[in-house]
Amino acid sequence: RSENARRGVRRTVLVLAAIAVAIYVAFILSGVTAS
Amino acid sequence: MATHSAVADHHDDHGHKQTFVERWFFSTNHKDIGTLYLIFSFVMFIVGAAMSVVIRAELAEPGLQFVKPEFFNQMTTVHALVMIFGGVMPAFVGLANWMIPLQIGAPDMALPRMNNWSFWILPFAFTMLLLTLFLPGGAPAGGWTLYPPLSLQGGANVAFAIFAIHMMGISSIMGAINVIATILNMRAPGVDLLKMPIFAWSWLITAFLLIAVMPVLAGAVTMLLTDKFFGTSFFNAAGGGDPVMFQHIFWFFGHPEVYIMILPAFGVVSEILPTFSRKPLFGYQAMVYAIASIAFLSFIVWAHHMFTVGMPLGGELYFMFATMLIAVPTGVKVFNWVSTMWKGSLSFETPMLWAIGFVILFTIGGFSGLMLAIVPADFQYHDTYFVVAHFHYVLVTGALFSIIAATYYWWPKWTGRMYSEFWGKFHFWWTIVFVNLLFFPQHFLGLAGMPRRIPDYNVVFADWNLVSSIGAFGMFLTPFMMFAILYVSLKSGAKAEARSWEGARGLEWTVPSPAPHHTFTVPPVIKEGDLAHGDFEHLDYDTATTGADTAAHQNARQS
Repeated sequence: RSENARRGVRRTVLVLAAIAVAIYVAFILSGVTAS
Repeated sequence: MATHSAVADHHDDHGHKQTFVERWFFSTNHKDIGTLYLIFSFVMFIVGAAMSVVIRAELAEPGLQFVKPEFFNQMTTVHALVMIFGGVMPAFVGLANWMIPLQIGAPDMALPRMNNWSFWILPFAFTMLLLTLFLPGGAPAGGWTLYPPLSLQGGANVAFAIFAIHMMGISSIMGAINVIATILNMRAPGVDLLKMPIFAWSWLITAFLLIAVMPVLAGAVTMLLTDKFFGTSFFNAAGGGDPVMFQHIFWFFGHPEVYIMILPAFGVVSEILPTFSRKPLFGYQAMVYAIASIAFLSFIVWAHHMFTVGMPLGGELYFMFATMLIAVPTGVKVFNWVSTMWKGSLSFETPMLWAIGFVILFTIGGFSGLMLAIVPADFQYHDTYFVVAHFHYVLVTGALFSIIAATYYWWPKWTGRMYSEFWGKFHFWWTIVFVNLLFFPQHFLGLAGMPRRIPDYNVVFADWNLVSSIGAFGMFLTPFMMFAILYVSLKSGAKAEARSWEGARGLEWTVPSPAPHHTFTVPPVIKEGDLAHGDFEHLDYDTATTGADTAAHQNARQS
């Protein structure tokens, strides 16, 4: 429950959410370039 | 024994007693949300099983008996979507919610409010999906793989199903982010990564798989949506698109997805076998590395689902060999499970029976998978009932058996009640008989050439189809049997000890049964023998804590 752990949680969430969005966009772009 | 501050059920300690709506609809408690996931999954298993009974009733004899071919195809499609996204996946997320904080000594999940949203999206998603059965033209009928152009020939159901799949994906991604954030940031002091229970490890790796591939599925169905409604030609050959590209993108999601459904099952079995063998898991680190290896390999084998689509020879060879490579880490796991039991002080309580059933029957499914990996053989097997037999062995006697095993194993911790061992074992043996009657003959049908996804068939396939259908009718009774066993346990079962099983190790067994609403509100101080792994100098199963000891501990803690 420390501020340190809170910061860790926040950083983990932001990085993972960014990865998920990037993969979604990348696969649609791959469809755009391939078709 | 870990020190533990919460000894009573304090879910009314928020200044007032929580109402039913506050507790269940606005819940931020990992145990309540875990319970919601498990109840939802049970309901969806019943819905999916009802569809399988329609399928097997139609196939019990040659000729069309009960339903139109179009409706039959809707049943096979929605049965798969409901069982995968509504049954197996939420069941494992429910187990993760309940057990991961307890196993790592955390007070809750890292993101409790997002946890609530992850769950409550699902009932709306599946309402949306199941409502398509009542639309003109019915539900999606092109198979759960949604291959275009067939999948785009539906009516309004396409939009409903795609929206539902988007919602399921968002739910899964948020759940996975929550698991990773919890495990990486909330472990109690002393719970190093390589001292974590294998179930937590299996879920950590599974969560990374989910974050990697659920966006891929979302991208695939988004492109289906725009092809159907907005004039794009991603998969439309007439517009310069490529329907085979959809298959590649879908299976780039789909193969990791099938490992998402089995890795947590591996974790569950790795918890149960040591408990009832009364010795530590054999090869703990190898088990962790095997899970990670399987997860990595799951990304580079996707086209083995497409051997007959017309790939270059080099592609066929690469995907064949890469697929066979998965047998190595999987074999490591099976040998380690057997070695865990070797020279153990074995007892065969209900969870152990389901876990041993898993090891034997999942391995049968693994072997048929190896047969399917052989390209020239797959030219014969592809799209036959042999494939159906294969994936039902790994998903029913694999994933579902582990979910049932986990439920019996942790039920005393969840409810504080024991269930009837007699009826638990009856449930197991009944299932063993009927699940094998149901699925084993499907190997014969497939090898004889019976195709998948057909409502009628040549009379030569009649006998084994009848046997398979009898198995299905017997299997359909099992969820109701399990419900009755657990309901009676909840109402009148014997009180459970904190350490409900003599050989159980790990932090979850240091809290009372039933687990208080809030646990580890202050990080536990870990004592000798609390952890199941990485603490071997303190693991002394020969002088295992007895039931009387745990009762004494419990009383001491409550006084």
